[in-house]
Amino acid sequence: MLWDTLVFNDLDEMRRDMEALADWGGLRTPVGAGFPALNAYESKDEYVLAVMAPGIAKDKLDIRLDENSITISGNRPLPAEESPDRRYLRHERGHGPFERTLRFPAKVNRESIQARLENGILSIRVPKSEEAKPKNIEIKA
Amino acid sequence: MANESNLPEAGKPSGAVVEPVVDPGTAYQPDVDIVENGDSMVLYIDLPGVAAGGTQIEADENNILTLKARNSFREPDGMIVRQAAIGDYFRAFQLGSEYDRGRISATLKDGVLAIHIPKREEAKTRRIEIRT
Repeated sequence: MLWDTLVFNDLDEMRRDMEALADWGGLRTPVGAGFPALNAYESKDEYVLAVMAPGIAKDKLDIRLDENSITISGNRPLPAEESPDRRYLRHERGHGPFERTLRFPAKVNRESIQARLENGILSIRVPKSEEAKPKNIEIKA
Repeated sequence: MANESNLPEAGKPSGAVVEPVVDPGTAYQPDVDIVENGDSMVLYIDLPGVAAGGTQIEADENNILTLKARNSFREPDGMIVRQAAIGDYFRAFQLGSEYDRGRISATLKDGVLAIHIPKREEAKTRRIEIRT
């Protein structure tokens, strides 16, 4: 029963990834770099990333912003080392070092990025640069 | 896995405790690591977005452990990439009879719930020393 659920999760995730790429060719992430999982949101003023980082301390996370891309790296340790007296009955959570790079489809304002880690979710707000924001054109009478 | 007996009894005052209203049918299944040693077992469950007070953990008379968790993360509009399931969480575990449901303790830190479940005294691993 658990196996079925896992298979469906994987298929569902694959479908979502493909849909996300097909719908919107912008924020690209290298194939296979699925850990940690993240969601991205776009409004007319900014991009918001929500990175799943439960159990990762602030000082174990690193955010680097280049001209048009963002790199999030860090390390999530195992909750406990395996030993002769201690064994894993189940192991589903991702762990170990990671690095993910995402490219923004529009220019961003690197000066006013904000990051916040709360309840295991790292939220990063990246404002678009002025020139990338949609403009309203006023129609003169 | 939903167990009706886990629900609060009708007419019983619930006091100041606000029960998280989580629908097991639509909630996400969180990932878990289970680590066991001779005396106890610890379940580490990823609950990104769940704040203190947002969880409800119960163990019924059949040793079924049920976790419900309410997510307090507010997702912005305009989703363009979706890899993570952010929402309420539900998961149930069948504990072996050697585990003592009366002494379960749990902590929630940085979105990880650790549930500590000791074995009954008589079920604990005993080391036998060899006398010389």
